[in-house]
Amino acid sequence: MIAADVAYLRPDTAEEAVDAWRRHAGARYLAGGTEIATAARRTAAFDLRACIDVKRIPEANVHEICGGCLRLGAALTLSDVAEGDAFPLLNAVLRGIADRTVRNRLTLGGNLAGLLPYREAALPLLLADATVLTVAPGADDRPPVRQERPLRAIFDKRLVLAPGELVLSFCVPLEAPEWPWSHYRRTRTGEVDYPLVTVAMVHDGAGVRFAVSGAHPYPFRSDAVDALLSKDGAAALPAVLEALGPLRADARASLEYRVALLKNMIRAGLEDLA
Amino acid sequence: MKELSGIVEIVLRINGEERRAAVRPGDTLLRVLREKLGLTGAKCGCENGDCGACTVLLDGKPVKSCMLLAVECEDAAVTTIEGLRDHPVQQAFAEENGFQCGFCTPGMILNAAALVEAHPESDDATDREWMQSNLCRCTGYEGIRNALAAARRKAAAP
Amino acid sequence: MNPASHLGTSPIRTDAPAKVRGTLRYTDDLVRPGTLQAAVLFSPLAHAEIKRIETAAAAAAPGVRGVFTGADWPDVLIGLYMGDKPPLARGKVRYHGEPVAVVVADDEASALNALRLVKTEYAPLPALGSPREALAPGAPILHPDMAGYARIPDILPEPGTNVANRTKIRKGDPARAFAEADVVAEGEFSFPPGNHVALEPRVAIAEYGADGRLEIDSSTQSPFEVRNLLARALGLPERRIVVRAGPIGGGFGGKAGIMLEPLASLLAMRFPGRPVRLANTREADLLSSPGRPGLQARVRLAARADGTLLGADIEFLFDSGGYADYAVNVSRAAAISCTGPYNVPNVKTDSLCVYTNHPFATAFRGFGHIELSYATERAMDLLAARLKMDPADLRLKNAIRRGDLSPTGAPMDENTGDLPACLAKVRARLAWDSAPHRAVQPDGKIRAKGISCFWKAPAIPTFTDAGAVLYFAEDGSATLGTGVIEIGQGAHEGLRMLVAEALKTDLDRVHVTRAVDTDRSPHDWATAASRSLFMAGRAALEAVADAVAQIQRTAAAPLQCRPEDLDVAGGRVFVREDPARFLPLEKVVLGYVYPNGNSIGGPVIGRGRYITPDLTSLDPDTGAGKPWLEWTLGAEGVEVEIDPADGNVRVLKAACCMDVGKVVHPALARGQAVGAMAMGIGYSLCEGFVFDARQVVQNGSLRDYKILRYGEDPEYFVDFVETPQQDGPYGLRGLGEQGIVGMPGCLSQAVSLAIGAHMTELPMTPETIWKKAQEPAP
Repeated sequence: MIAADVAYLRPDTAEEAVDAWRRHAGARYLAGGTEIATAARRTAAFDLRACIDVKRIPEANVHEICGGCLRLGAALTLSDVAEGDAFPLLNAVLRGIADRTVRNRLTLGGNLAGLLPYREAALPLLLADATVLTVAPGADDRPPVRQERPLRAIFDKRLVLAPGELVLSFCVPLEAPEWPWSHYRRTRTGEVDYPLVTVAMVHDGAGVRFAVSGAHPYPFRSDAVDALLSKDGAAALPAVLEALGPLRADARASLEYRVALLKNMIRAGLEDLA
Repeated sequence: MKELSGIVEIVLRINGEERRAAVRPGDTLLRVLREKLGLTGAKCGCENGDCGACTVLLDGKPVKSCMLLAVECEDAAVTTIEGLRDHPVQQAFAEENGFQCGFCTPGMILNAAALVEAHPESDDATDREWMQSNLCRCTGYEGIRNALAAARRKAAAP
Repeated sequence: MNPASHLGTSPIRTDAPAKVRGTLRYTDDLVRPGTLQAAVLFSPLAHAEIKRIETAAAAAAPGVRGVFTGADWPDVLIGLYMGDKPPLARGKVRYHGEPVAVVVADDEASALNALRLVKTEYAPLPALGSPREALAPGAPILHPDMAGYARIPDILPEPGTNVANRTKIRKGDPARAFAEADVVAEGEFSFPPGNHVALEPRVAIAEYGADGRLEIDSSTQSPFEVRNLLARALGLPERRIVVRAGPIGGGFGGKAGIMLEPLASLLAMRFPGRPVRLANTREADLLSSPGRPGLQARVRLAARADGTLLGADIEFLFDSGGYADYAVNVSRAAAISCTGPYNVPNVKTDSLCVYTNHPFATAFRGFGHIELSYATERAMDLLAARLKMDPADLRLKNAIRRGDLSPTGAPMDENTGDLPACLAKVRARLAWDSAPHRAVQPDGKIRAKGISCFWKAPAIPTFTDAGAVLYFAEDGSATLGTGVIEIGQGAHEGLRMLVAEALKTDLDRVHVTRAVDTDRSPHDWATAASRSLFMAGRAALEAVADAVAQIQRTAAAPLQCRPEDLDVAGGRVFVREDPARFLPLEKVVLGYVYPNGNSIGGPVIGRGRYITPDLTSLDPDTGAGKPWLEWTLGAEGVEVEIDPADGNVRVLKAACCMDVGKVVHPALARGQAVGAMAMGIGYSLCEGFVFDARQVVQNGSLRDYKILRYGEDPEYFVDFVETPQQDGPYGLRGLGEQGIVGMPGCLSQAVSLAIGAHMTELPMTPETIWKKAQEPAP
């Protein structure tokens, strides 16, 4: 059970949401709630005083193609998104996260902005050079600020957001879902688990794009690795591993095993894209 | 904007009935069902979203009631196991021994009922994707698989 | 007039309607208003001195009625076979998850909020991470006061060491057997401790009444055992304790011992007149309450060149964790059955239960047999490899048969199951003799098969008992009362069928009381050891016979015959030679009333009793004795598919055939076998605790402790052989646990064959398989 006394706020607009955040010290945005419900129960350090339920903000629920892009609201559940046919790679990646009935609640924005490190939904969005629309409290008493920025510009291991900044939606350029793609994911044992390594790759016509999570405790994409794979394919594996930097070793898997999985996945991915 | 704190009265639409309850905003739907409304069919198997014993239907979709707040469910239709009566999936679980201890069964049946409704035709990959959400420690899943098949046969029969 | 036999039919379970509609009330569904809620603080360390526990702030928090630590009960020690565990840690903590303090409050939220205000300070101590570490010279002694612990005589602890029990088997002349052997195979095998993961977390609700009686509702498999152990731990006589247990949400042995009841009771005694609920979260259920033991084993087998086993030299080191609980008897059970189902004339076995700083261990499905079987089956595989012999043929050659001596020197009797028949069935299911055991698929994956044999005997007290009472209602129907708990296994369904069979009546005229209450139910040792249908079944049949005799006595006068001329069947009592002369049971079972109003008889109350006959304790030096009641023998096999690139493994088929004497309810019997096989697959491939260097559990939630999910299960094949158990009801013997026992062995064999290297540890996760496959061939 969640023992803390929590205030619940349900704004109808993005502006109300950031306003609520300003008025309630220590408030957290609540979307699917799958992480908040567990962290509030289990983690003594997780301080939960107020939840701002952002699921009814219309802009966070868009699911449409317009203006040359696929716009996906941050409050859409992973199941809702994965049932669409607009972005097959995204569907494949989302289907690996948690389990089906959790995905019926877990949202796209929550997966990217949450505390858990894997953030696998970021992989296809990073590969697609998606943009992200956010709203943040204005400085002092000025009105909230909306910004649409490239995801990669504000993604460094996690979404780098200002205090109180709320993700509203993601925008995927329409050519990206058309690219050939590949996705591999391995866990310690059963499928319903955090990934040891999860790799997503596309070929954008000009070259290979590669993103990975699990190998590091965060999603990773870099131009350097894309360039290496585009130029030399599987022959670039040693250089790619070097460029990826130190990989993770933990109670789930050793470093050597993660490296082996990563190599297998990159090789298989390159074959899929060829 | 709705703002709730302290003890609040909410109205939930559960199994087609309006149910009122005094809750704390931090109360999960699971705890409110069990402790405020006497609907103990949903079980506290882990309260961590891992086991599925607390599964209910929210607007027809199976969700884990330990992972959502009761106050989030106002305006939604909640179906608990107590709301299913002589459903083909229930009959099939009984006939095919889709349970032993019965503790996972309410959640398992609600998930299965939603699955059979969404996918009347059997498809191993889809069944697996859906049913992996619920743990059973007794049956080894054989009886549950057989129950799914039997429920689909029942649903398809005129 | 006689209805057809029920035995061998598969009626729908009587608990099905309540279970599929979610209306069955488990223990935690019964909480009454006004119940105090307890919340427990657990040790974050595996081994540490408790320097300080500060409770004042918590005690002053809103809604809090009390905060307690180990110091509140300085003398209470709890145990099953040996009293070694304080209700809350005193002085030091011995495992990650040990209860350290408890807050009691008006509601759960207040208790949990106050718990965060309890401040603790620990001085870490070196933590023992395995039995071998615990036995090494200079290892810290976890229980320096062991010599003073109360214990039963069958347990042989070694004070001054970390050995909580040592059971020795000395049979024949093993030294000579090894000297004369053509081939010796030897290996070391191990796995970490783990958990049962019953879906229902454990819960106890206790109330201390104004009359000085303690009432406990508990999710227990053993209400009478709990009453007895509580009486000893609390110094209350049994007459002042009542334990109630309804149906429970899975047990698998994890609810067979004593768990939350002592602490809940001690708390209740501080708040007379108010119920106190102590309920495990899943994390507490995994870490704090007992799980299953780990094992380090060394097995040496001596054989002739033709494969005939000559001797075995075995060391089992059970990882009991911080406390002994049931694990001391698990190690004893493993000694009793140490060779597996093979005829081994010369045996030297030392089976030890060793304290470590792991979560403590209790009974688990298979009770010592899944553990021993893993080690001996692996050793049999090594031997088969040395002999270049088909592993199934090696097992067949040595299969134990009637007249052979068990490891404790007692002869296998006429009830010995037909292991060769079981083995043949599993071979057929796997196409063992008609298709290769290993095949590389076009996609590079490797399919491989494995086969194992198993046996299991209940390791029970020599005085294991069961009582049964049969009552009747106005409609002539019968109600059976026993002390058997419905865990999900379906024992109540089986008992109902036995009673209906013996009464020769329709099934719907027999009812079995679900709830067990130590005040009202006949005594029953425990719902454990796969013994309920056997022992409570025997008692139930005796109760039926007793009731029938009473019915005959009552009916003899109005039917104008001798009692022995009467038969009972089809809801009637009738003259055997002239069935037209009959009375419907409803006119007899509560007494017969003559037309003029005169009455005779009174309510029929059938009484049945069972106690294990002829069992003995083990000789402490040689292990000689007859501790077992019956053996269930069987064979299991699997086919797996492995991706050598990453070690990913899928179980395609799992087959089990066991000799159960008589199948009462085929669908439920199959369900037990299938469920046990699935649990064995999880045990072998994904389960078990992961520890860090300080022995802190790294996978203490269901997020990380993985059990099988839907779709990870194989295609199952289950067959039964029926060699009657002469003393079992209608010839049956136990079958609930057995299907798990052979799984680690056959899975290890299959995986080893696939990758060309012998697996020696569980769980065989993809990474461990991949790693082993990388090792250069020896």
